[in-house]
Amino acid sequence: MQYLIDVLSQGSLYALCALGIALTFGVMRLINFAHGEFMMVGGYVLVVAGDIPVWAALLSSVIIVGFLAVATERIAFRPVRNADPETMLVTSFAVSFLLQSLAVLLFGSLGRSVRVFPPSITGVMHIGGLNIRWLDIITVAVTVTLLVSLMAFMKTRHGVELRAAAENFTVARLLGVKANQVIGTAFAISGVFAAATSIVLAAQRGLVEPTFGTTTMLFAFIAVIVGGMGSLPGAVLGAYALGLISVTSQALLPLGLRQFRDAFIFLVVVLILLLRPEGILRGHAARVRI
Amino acid sequence: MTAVIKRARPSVAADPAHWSTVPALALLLTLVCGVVTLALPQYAAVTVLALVGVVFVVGMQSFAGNSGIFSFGHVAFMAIGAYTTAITTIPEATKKILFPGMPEIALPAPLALVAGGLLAALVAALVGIPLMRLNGLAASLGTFALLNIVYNLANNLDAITGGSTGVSSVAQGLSLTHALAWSAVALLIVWTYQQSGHGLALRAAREDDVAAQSLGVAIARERHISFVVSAFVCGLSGGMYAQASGSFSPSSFFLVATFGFVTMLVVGGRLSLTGAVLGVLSITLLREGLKVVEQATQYTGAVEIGMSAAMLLTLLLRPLGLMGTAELVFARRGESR
Amino acid sequence: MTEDILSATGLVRRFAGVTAVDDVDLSVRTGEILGLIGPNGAGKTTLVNLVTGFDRPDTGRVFLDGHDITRLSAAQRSRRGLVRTFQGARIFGRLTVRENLVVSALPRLGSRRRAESRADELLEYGEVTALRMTPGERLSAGTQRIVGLLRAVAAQPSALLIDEPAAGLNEVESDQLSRLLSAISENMEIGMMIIEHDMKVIMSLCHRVQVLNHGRTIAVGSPDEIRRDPAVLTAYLGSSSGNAHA
Repeated sequence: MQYLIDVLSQGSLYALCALGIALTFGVMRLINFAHGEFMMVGGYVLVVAGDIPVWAALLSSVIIVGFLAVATERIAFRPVRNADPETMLVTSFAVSFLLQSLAVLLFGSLGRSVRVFPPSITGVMHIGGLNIRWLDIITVAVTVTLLVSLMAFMKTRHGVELRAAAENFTVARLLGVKANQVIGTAFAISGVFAAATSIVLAAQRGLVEPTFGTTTMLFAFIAVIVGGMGSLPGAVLGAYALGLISVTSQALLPLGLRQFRDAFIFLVVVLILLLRPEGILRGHAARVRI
Repeated sequence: MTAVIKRARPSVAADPAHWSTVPALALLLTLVCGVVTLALPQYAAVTVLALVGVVFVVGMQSFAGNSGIFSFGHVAFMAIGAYTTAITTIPEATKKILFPGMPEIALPAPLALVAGGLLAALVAALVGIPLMRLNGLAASLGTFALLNIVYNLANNLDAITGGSTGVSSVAQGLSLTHALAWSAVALLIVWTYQQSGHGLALRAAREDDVAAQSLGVAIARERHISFVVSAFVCGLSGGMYAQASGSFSPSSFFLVATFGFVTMLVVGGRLSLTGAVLGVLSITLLREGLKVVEQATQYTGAVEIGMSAAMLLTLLLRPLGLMGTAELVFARRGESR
Repeated sequence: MTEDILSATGLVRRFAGVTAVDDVDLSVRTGEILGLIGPNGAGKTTLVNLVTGFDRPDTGRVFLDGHDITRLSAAQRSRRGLVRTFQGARIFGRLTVRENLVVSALPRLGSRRRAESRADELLEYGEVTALRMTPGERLSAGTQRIVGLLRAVAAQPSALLIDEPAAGLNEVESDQLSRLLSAISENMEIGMMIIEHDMKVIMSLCHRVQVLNHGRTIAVGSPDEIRRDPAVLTAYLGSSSGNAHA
């Protein structure tokens, strides 16, 4: 049971991050390396917010990161929108490094401590024989809420347009979907997911540094690939699968080998990909159109 | 004969003038090094490190340029080469005291470099089996995962790697001449691969993977071959780095290094061997300039910001970099266009 | 009577409930040109994808020179002699015309030198030697189609599938391409299958014609027989596709 909670909590964190990445990949074939830096900015907003009420800090984080995501698309990604996916990938890599360097310039390369929630809800709750961290509950709750909202949004007109664009951008444009609007929406939502991820992550770590988002983003990338590139349900599925692998290897690996946990996780992922090179749910990006 | 830039003649294998790309680039590097040595002797160390960069970026170009897949993991091969060279060349007595866990293998310096290259190639051959079967973008991300794994291992295999504090007391012995010679070797290896049938088939797959498949090109296999060749060259560069700097740690081969090399390749032009060389030279120049600015103004991070700006501007204004698909060659006057 | 170089039996392919190809057989002999026609959405391109390995059939089998190749990849089939062209020529844009052909000749010939001389021969044959050093992306649509065809032939196929060679070409280009196609068919030991909307091209080139409609074969026969087949007429007229005027 404890194990299940850990899997759910870890998987939810990856799912939050992976959905943000999968969304922008869906509409413009962009693997966004800067997503980790969106998360980092979210973290620093919480640092700077300091003593203002929790809700205000969280809200400003969401708003600022949302705007940052939309602005990044405008400035950096729109000009290379029609370039090949590798060029877009490298562009996002450059943006990512630029934002990291700016963070170093503004906040230094050492971590800044942050307390997101008051101590009363960072503790442990005892139910029966279980020790449940409040944070795990918050993580899962945030993820479920955002997932349900995203599903609800996908049923609205904008959401349908977004789905159509993700499925086949050219056809969607012919049907009158406005490219800039759809991509802008995707980035805004992606930003909200990045902010949510950063809140959970900041609460877990209590520390924000320039490379704050990198590791989680890497795992989310892996989740997106394992789940099947271009598929939103695939991203969620991949994230929880990765959570499962991660928590399981933490539990099963002998103490001396725990520091190699990440390498071990990648090994398992490689084995999965050997069996299914296109991911668990075969994403539409993998299909060849002739 | 003058060296001129041949424009708009992409990868012209049969072009009789084309044999001269490697000699032309070697000459260019020799000239640049000569000028810097005479005019700015305080930059001698930077020059040698720039040549290490040339070997690395040329190696990376042979994969990224021909396959069209950007790699964020080649620095891992550099790390493998560096550790191999360090372990095999640190003097016996020093090793016993500082790194008692290291294997007791000793090699002469040039052989140590080659061993580093071979080990990197071996690792590439293994990880390439799953990695090169993925589609292009997923493969790019896979190389990024590889970087993280090797970093993780280098940090934690304390007995062999010295852990996060790294390795010191590597026999320093990479002269400018040696570095130039190795650069020429790297250029020759990569050029030979590029001109081979394998290189050609991979470039075809880069242009249109579906058409390449229809003509019998085994894309995963061709990518894999290229990956191994480029890992060998990048492994060499790691060994050179170890000999040039004498000490290093896992973080010498992580995000900052990756970013720097990717910037060089993007700015120079990833489809061109000349672009790889020019990228190293121009970004090194930019970086050294920015360092002076940084010291004067106390703005830590100015170097990185300037470099990311250079990369972004290149991508937005000239996506194929300074060189595009052009190569430097010797040509008689009037033959250049 | 010669053996079939290429044949398929009982091919079925369904997409999300729609049966795009429904129990289709086909056979091509060496030296023969088979025409494959049908209204838009009849399943022609899907059929070519199934035969060449770019898609897998739900049921059915494909044979090349008597060997079952159903489970082979597209690249493996190509190396065994089953080669196709594409609707857009899919020329390698940043490779030269000559390199385009060399890539194709390499897997079979092995040596770079032999592949190059094969490429040069074919460039001569197709009267495009002057363009050998031109990057593919600089060619006109018509020339790209010709180079695409020569490139496919450079692989030394025993069976060649040609997807809409004349689509989008003007009269002159289309005639030039037709001449090249029939020359290839007469001079080389190849079984060819051509998908085409342009009835003029089909009727003048093909020895036999197979007609698809709604994923099924509705007629096979000589061009004359097909022209008079009532089922074919109904299919074309009924589908309001204006391409049937032969």
